[in-house]
This record gives sequence, structure tokens and C-alpha cells, in this order.
Amino acid sequence: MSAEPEDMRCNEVVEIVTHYLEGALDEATQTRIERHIEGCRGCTHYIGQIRITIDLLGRVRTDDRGEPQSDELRAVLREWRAGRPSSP
Amino acid sequence: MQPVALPDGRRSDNEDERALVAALRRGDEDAFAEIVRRYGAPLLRLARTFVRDQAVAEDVVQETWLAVLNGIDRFEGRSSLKTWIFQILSNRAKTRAVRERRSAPFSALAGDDEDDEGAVDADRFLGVGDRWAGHWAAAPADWSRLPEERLLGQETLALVNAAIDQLPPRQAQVIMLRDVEGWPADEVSAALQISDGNQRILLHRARSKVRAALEQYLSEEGAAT
Repeated sequence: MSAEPEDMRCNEVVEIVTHYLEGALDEATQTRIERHIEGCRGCTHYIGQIRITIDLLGRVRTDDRGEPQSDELRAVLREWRAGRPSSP
Repeated sequence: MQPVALPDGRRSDNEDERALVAALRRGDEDAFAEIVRRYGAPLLRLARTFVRDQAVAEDVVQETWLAVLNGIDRFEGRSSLKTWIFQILSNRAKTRAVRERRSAPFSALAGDDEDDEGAVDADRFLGVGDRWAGHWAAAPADWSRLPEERLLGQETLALVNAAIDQLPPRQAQVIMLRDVEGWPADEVSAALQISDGNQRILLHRARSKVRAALEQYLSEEGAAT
């Protein structure tokens, strides 16, 4: 194995990994990155890390900020309804 | 009162949404409670990326709900109800952020998104002059070999959460909607009113930073055991 000019380098891979995962690369670049990953353990692990990062982000719950102030919101709704020209 | 569009597995998203919109137009309290239950928490978190102050963020969410109710008759369904609600929030939060910043000049530069650091520290790669310049100096670790309880533990998720909070606002907004809420790219671009290309760049920077935070944490923990 030797570095040829058209070979992609690892520090390029990490900059286009999102384009790669989103399917947003042009065909030539897609081919180059795939060929690189196939022969590069470091980049295979790196892309695995990004995939695990995405998976972990999906497990983060956003509902840790307490219940919405539903009494207030119901009051907002009642007020809004009362002000409508033709409330049911 | 008819139960409103609770997800029961039989209705498609479209039908579900049409029923919700119709109920909101009638001024149905249950329909309103339902959209608040669905979107209240992510709206608040998104608001907090624009205006860091919790009370102000809550205020913006409240304003958003009023605007949703006042505007529901004019909602044309060109985007999804969800996207439309988040668009309203992002517009209001932006306006509010500008106003807040004006009254607090010292924070004016906080949250600048125009960083152009690499996704990975340059010193992780072999330098110019090396035959393998630009390739990993040491290969990244294989996280799939980590014990699941470490990788998926509460502490790890708390770290991910903290890493999101550290991101510049626009990166936090995109990664929250894309990866935390699991929205498709086009809906995120529409809600935040940014181009697809911009969305992707912000997502890229955000994911790279969260990965780096995880890498640091996971390697420290590995060293400690």
C-alpha cells in the first residue's frame, strides 16, 4: 500500500463525513471516500464513533425541564377563545 | 367531546395533523393540551439556544403558543403543523435575542457560529513531511467494543446533553432538531429557515464537537478502570 495522489487522506474524511452519511457527496468523491474507508481502520472507527454519537443524541431526553405550565396555557386558550368572533 | 388525534397507530400523520388543526380551530382544549404535550419541551429547549435566560425562553414559548392559536385559521398546511410551530418560535426567539443582546452588550459576541476549526484536532494527524501526512497518527478507538452500560449509561447521556449546551446557538439548534428530536433534514431547514447546505455544515460542526467531547470522556474513563 502506498499513498497515491488521488487517495483521500484521513483529515479529509473527517471533514466530509456528514456529507457522506447524508448521501450528499458527488459520485467521484463518494467513490474515493468508500475506497479510503475500506482500507483504513482509523476512519472506519471514526465513522463508527460518529454513528454512535448520533445514536446517543437520539437517546437524550428533552423532557427534563418539567411539565409545561398547563394551567397558564389553558388560561391562554380560554382567553383566546373568548376573544374570537364566533366561539363555538 | 371527541378524543382528538391521539396517536393510536391507525391514523396516518397527515390525518392526525388535519384532525388536530381542525380541533384547534374550534378552540378545543384537549387538542391544545396535546400539541403542548408534544412540542412544549423541545420548543423550550430550542428557545434556550436563542435566549439563554430560562424565564425569557419560557416567555418566548408562551408567546409562540398565543401566535399559534391566533394564526391557526391562516395555517395553510404548506409545511407540517410541527414545522410551522417551530418556525414561529424561531422567528420570535431571534427577535427576542437581538433585543436582549442590545440590553446586555457584553454578551454581544457570545455564541458566534463562525468558527472554522477542524472536526478533529490537527495534531491527531501526521504532519507535513511525513510520508503519510494527513493520516491518523493513532487510530481512533473502536467504541463498539465498549461495554454497553458504560456507553449508554446516564453519565454518558448527561455528558452528551452538556456538550449540546456548549455548542454555538445555531449548531445547537440544528443538532437538537436533527439528532435529538430525529427530524429529517428538510424539516429542520424549513423550521430554522436556513438553506440545506447551511443545515449540513452546522450539523457537521455540531456532531464533530459532541463526538470529541465523548471521546475525551470515554478515554478518561477507560484510563481510570
